[in-house]
Order: sequence, then structure tokens, then C-alpha cells
Amino acid sequence: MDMLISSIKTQYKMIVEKKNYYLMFLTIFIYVLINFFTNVFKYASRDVTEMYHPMRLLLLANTGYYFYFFMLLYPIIVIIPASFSYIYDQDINEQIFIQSRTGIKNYYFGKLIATFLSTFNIFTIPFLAEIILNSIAFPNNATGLLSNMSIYESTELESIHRLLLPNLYIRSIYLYVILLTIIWGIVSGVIATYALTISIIIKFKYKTFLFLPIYILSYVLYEVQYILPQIDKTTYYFFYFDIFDTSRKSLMGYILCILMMTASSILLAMYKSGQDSLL
Amino acid sequence: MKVYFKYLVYGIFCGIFQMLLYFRIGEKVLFSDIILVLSFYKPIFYISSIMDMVMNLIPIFIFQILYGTYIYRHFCSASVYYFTRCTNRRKWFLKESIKLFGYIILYLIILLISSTLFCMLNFEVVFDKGSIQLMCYFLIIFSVWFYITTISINIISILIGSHYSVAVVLSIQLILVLLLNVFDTCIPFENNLAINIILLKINPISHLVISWHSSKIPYVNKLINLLDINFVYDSSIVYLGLLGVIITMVGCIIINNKQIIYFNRETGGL
Repeated sequence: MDMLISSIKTQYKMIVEKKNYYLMFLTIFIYVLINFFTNVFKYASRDVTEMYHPMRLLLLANTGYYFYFFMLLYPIIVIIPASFSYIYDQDINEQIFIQSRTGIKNYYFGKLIATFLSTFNIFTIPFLAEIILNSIAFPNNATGLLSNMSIYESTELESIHRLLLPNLYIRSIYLYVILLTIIWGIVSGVIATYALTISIIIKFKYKTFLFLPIYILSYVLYEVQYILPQIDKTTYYFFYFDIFDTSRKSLMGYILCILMMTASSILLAMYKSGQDSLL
Repeated sequence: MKVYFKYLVYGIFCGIFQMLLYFRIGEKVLFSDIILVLSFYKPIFYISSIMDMVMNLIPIFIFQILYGTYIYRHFCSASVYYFTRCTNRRKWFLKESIKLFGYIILYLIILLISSTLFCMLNFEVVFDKGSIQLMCYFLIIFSVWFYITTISINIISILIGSHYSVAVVLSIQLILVLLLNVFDTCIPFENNLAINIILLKINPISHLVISWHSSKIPYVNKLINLLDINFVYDSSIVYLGLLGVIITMVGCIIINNKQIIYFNRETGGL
């Protein structure tokens, strides 16, 4: 266990100190701040009765172009910070030094956990910061919706049940938003870890091929809803990351997909560590 | 070289997968519809349609990633040994570009044949009047676009690395697609302003949408011209062709000035 923790710490430090990691973190943070300040200047001096709920102005709440642009680039952004870490290790043969100290199994599992944690941080911290900033900058007693409909309209009340966690939303919007942001971070971590595992199992000749698994997966999942008429829920990742999206979604399908990616990452890592081991 | 030949098999899977959509539509399939489905079908400027366009770009992205190392690979391993036997790099680059263009044409033909054969096996395919002209325009326009983007990835990879170059080129294409939404929000296309048509024609991605074009041949124009504007294919071919020539010239300059290093750019070893 100590060896695993030391492997995680070492590898986490190696990922975080790389240029592409902190540049990506800075870029996402600045992007979130741009969205925040755009809202601040757009809604400045608006009366509280006409003001939208602060949580409706988040980047992940789909306020406009910022969200669409971010989602378009998401398959690229999620891979760049940490999923290349195994490939970088192989470039300079660093894995030999770590494996000789911590063992092969601890190396692979440490790498998986470090990749997950580092990607989770990038995709959670800026967005949680935005929640705090929005709660401070905008009036908490504003209740308006971006559609300018009343929150008591029958269509609006019906659409609440199509959110991912409607009961939590009804209890507390803030808890709902925080939990979905954490889930978004977890999902991003799982996707980055899955891509990393693919790079461990398949030795890519060129780094660029690491973008293929995520793009193929997102395209296949997107087409499934059109190919299989039995599936009447959306399978487009875009709608599951939008916090207040009210299209028909499947929470069970979403969780199953993430669990399958996690399980396959763990199993493939176990297989690889068993393959390399002499004992 | 054989590896890039094997990648062409991806065209078969891509063609079949994109036609699986027809299982939910009908039994009779027009050949012109097959061409339109392979080229974003009939999109409008609403954001939901734009996002669907983005997902339909993914098979194109996969091709660009696969062939984005066609020229770059020569700058990875043993480049100093390779280029000491190649005195005229510009001539070599032009030769490789022509070979890459050949692969692209082959891929598009395989895509078209596999999708048509798949539909023929499952439905009745009707070769309607005008569909052959549409097929020719599809092959020309898409082959030039594939060439522009794949060569760009190859050239930028030599400068900054393969994974960053793919991120840059894919991002540019995604931004160009998202910019089409201005015709729904900022300057609605229904207003029929001259600026709308100019901005539409400047955006390279709009030239890929076969259904937005118009044609002087009436039976071809009947199948397309969704926007009811003068947007002929000849202008698309000239515009994209010009972009292709510029990218090739830039590639020649970069390749000629690139200092050959003795370690593998991709893995760091020899």
C-alpha cells in the first residue's frame, strides 16, 4: 500500500509539472472566468426580479457559445493534460526507474489513479470556483430562467423530471449543481484514464493516434440512438454534460457506460502488469 | 506504405456505419440521398443541426488522424539517412503530396462503393437523374478538403509534434463549423443580406455541404439548393483548390528549411 501511495504521488507530481498540464489548467480557468465576466457585464444593474438564477449562468449550464465551443473541443481537451503520460514515460524510459522502486503493478495502478486525479482536478476546480463566484456576484434570490418562462409554468415543471437527478434539484439547486460538476470531473477523469489504458495496451507509433479511441467511442455512441429504434433516449455526450438539459436521458445508461470504462481500464491494467511481471 | 493501404479498410466500415441510419428511414434509397448523407445531408443553421454536423465530421477527423503522419513519418525515424539520399526536397514533397491525394481519392471511392453496396444489399437503390454529377462534385470537393487538412496536419506536426498539430487542425475545423451558427443568431440568413452569402462562401466548411450548393442544370438543382442562393460548385472547387495550392507551397517552404535532426521526433530515441 505504501508503495502504491508513493507511486501515485510521484506520478501525480510528474503529470502536474508538465507544461501541457498547467497550460491546459490555466486555459480552462481563464475560459471559465471569461464566461463569468461576460455574465457580470451583461447583467450588471439588472433588477433582481428580472435576473436569472446564479446557477443558470454557469458555463456548464449551457448559457450559449462558450458551452458549445467547450463541448466541441472536449474530446481533445480531456486527452491532452494527462493521457499522454505513459507515452512520455516511454520516450525517456522513465518507467524503468519507477517500476524498479515500486513494482510493476503499483506503477500501472499508480499511473491510472494519478491520471484520474489530475484530470479530475482540471475539470472540477475551475467549475467549482465559478459556482462560488456566481453565488457571490449574482443575487441568490433571483429565480429567472434563461428561457424567460416562469419556473411555475407546467412545461417547465414537467421538464424538471427529465434532469439527471430531479429529486436533488427540487431539494436544492446548489447541491444539484455541485454534485453534477463533481460527476463531470469524475467522468472526465475516467475518459482520460481509459485513453491512457489504451495507450498502455496498444503501442501507438505516433502520439496523435491517442485521439482515435475517444472520437470513435463518442461517434459510435452518438449513432446508436439513430441505428437502434428501441433507444428513445439521447446518447450524445453533450446532453449529459449540460447541467440543466431537459432532453430524454438515461441515468442508468450513463452510469453503466462510465462503470464499463472504469472496469475495462482496471482489467486492462491488471492484464498488462501481469504480462510484464516475472512472478 | 502498406500500412496506409491497410487504413483504407476504414473506408468500408465508415461507409457501412453511416448507412445504418437508413434502417429507420425507408426501403427505397436514392443514390443522390446516399451522396447527401455522406456530406452532412441537409443541415440548417440552428445550433442543434450544427452540433449534428460536428458529429458527422468525426469520421473525417479519424481519416485525418490516420493519414496525418504520411509525410511526418519521414521526419521521425532515421530522417538524416533518408534525406541524405534526397537532394531535392521540394520535388520529394510534391511527389508525396500527389501520392497522398491518390490515397484520399481511393478512400472516397471505397467509402462510396461500400455505402452503395450496403444499401443495395438491404434496400432498392435508385440511380436518379443528377446523382452522377453530385457524385463527381462530392469526390472532387471532399478530396481537396481532405488533402488540405491532412497536409496541414503533416506540416504542422513537423513543427510542433503530431498530437498538437491534430489538436490545432481539428479545433480550426470545429470553430469554422460553429461560426455557421451566426446565420441563426447575429445575421439571420432569412434576411437575404449580401454579407450573409459572402461570409458563407468564405467559410471553407460550407463548401463541403453539397445540399447548400446550386447548379445550372435544372435536374441537379432540384436535388440540392436548400438555401435558394447562387452557390455553384465551380466556385467551391476553385476556392478549395486555391487553399490546397497555398498549403502545398507553404509545405514546400517548411520542408525545405527544416533542419534534419538525428533523433526520433516522436519517441526521442534513434
